[in-house]
Amino acid sequence: MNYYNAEILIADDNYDLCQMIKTMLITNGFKNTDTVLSCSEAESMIYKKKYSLIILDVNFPDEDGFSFYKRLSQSFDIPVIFLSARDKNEDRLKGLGLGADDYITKPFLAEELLLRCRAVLKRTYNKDKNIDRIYKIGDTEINMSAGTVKKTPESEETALTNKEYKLLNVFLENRGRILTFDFLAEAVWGENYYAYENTLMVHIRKLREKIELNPSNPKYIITMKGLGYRLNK
Amino acid sequence: MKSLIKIYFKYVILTVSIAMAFIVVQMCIYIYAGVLMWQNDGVPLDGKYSVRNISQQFEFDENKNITNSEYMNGIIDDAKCEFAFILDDNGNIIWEHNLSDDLNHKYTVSDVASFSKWYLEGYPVSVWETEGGLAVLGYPKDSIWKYNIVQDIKGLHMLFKLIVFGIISSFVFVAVLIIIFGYGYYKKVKVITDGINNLSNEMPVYMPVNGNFKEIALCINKTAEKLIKQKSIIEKRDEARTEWISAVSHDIRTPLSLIMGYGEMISQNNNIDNDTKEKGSVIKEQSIKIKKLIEDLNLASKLEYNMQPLRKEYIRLSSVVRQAAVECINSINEGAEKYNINIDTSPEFDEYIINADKQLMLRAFENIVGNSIRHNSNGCEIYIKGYIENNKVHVIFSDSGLGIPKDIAENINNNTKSLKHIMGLIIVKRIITSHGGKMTVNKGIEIIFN
Repeated sequence: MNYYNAEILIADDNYDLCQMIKTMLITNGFKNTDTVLSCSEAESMIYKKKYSLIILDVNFPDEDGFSFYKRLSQSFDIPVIFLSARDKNEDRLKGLGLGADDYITKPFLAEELLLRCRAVLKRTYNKDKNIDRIYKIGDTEINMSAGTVKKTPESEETALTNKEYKLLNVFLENRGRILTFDFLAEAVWGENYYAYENTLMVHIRKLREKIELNPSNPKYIITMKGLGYRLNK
Repeated sequence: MKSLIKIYFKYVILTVSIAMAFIVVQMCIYIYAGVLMWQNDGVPLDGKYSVRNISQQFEFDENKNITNSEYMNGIIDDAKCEFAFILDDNGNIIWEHNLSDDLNHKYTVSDVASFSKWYLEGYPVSVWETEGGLAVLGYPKDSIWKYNIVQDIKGLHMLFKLIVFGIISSFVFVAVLIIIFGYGYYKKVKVITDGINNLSNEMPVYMPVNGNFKEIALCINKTAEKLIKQKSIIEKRDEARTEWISAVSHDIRTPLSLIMGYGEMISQNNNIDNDTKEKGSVIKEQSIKIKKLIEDLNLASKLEYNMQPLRKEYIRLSSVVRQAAVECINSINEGAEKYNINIDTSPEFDEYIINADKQLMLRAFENIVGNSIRHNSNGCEIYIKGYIENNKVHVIFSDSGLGIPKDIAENINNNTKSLKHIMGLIIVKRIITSHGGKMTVNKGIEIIFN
């Protein structure tokens, strides 16, 4: 699964910005990128070529990006990242509400754009090929596709419970970042998570037992006192 | 307006007491006049020189001849009598003093009855019985007014009752008049004060222009019109300003994206020498700062002119505080371990639910913690304390680093304009106050919600 081969279309009415994003993507390994300056050009390009990702501005002289995407999504299933100068929450929610995969506001960091492109492509590019999601935490090998954990290469595979799986999933998606109790509890139990904080501690302890060599002195799932937990890189 | 009814009552009390005072003063004047009459030194009618007193001093022998004639002459002169005489039972004068010839004759019973009641040839006289007969004292003409009053006792009682009733009823009448007319004015003034009240609440005012208060009503109507006009002008101008700032901050985003993006690319290009790479990363870092400034400016102007709609929802304050602290730590690229967050919250605080705009609250707390991190590049301890006391929710942020300079703290606390770059804290304050909270800056920052 080499998503660097993905065809990416950059649509923005500013020529310089299109060129910059193109350069940025090319220097980071994405070889197949096209740029267009309007929605109508974008539309004709989409009919010509099969794109795996569109980086789409919102403000165009001819049509606004939201309605273009709305129209487009009726006949095509192409992942979209909005890249807009509109930073209001309403706009962000509107974009995501239309089914966009992400919404980035200008000015943006190149690294952020790249990370988000990779995240979207990882999820969508060649998704029919069933590839195991394998992660390493120290000596521990985790297969998120199978939901199993191998503490050491020699030890036996153990299955993750539903809650442990959800926890580990958000930890892996946010590796190196502190996650608050509230965030973790919400990820596991959904919106009405308020009563579950003590239960969360129990699940963290069980998860440590499966991952940490010494669960009472954890090296990877670290407690941030008063704040939450962090999965170390 | 409550004070108006007070004014009305004061007016009633004042005018009624003026009326009362008027009556009391009148009575005083009459009493004083009476006293003066009593004490006047014209014709002494009372005391030592009263007719009774004088009459009793006549001394008679057994033949009813006066023995102290000389002495009595003196007394009668002292009493300022014009003349005096004594009549025996038959009406003959048995003694006289200064009596003119035309009066010196015999008096019949009817004469006596007449002059004792009225006048003797124009002279006012007083009579009193003595051992020898009837003493008659004559006073100078026109010196005494004489009138006999005859009234039956029942009528007298009635008269007395009528006087008392008259005083009371006229007093009540006056009081009622005062209250009724006062109320009339109260109602008219109330229209005016209601108008002024509306004016102060920035509500439209259209008062009827008539009556005594015509001009005042006209003035108030005009003022209201002007106020509303000015308000809409100010609102339009504020809106235009906010729109303008919003448009500028929107238009600056694309060029800034280019600067930031190319700066970042230069800083990461391994084919370039380190010096230039370093410069590229400076361009990137500074662009990020400009980006933050623009966002702050935009948000600050929207909050200032109430154009930032609050998307309120019920959220746990402790959760927002924690998330803000974590976001700040997570966003540090290098050296996050130099900053240690010490969070200390009471169980009640952890449970506290607030109705607030989550994104804005998050922004406020992130600004505060972000400040601690930015201004202490060598690392510091960051303290966050949350508790509830006297039904008030306290959140206190402080750090072991440099703290907030005194002049900045004062500027924020007093809302004074300042040239120092304190946009971040101004935004925090606006967010907190727009949620009904209070923020004070000392060495740390204390936020209180009711």
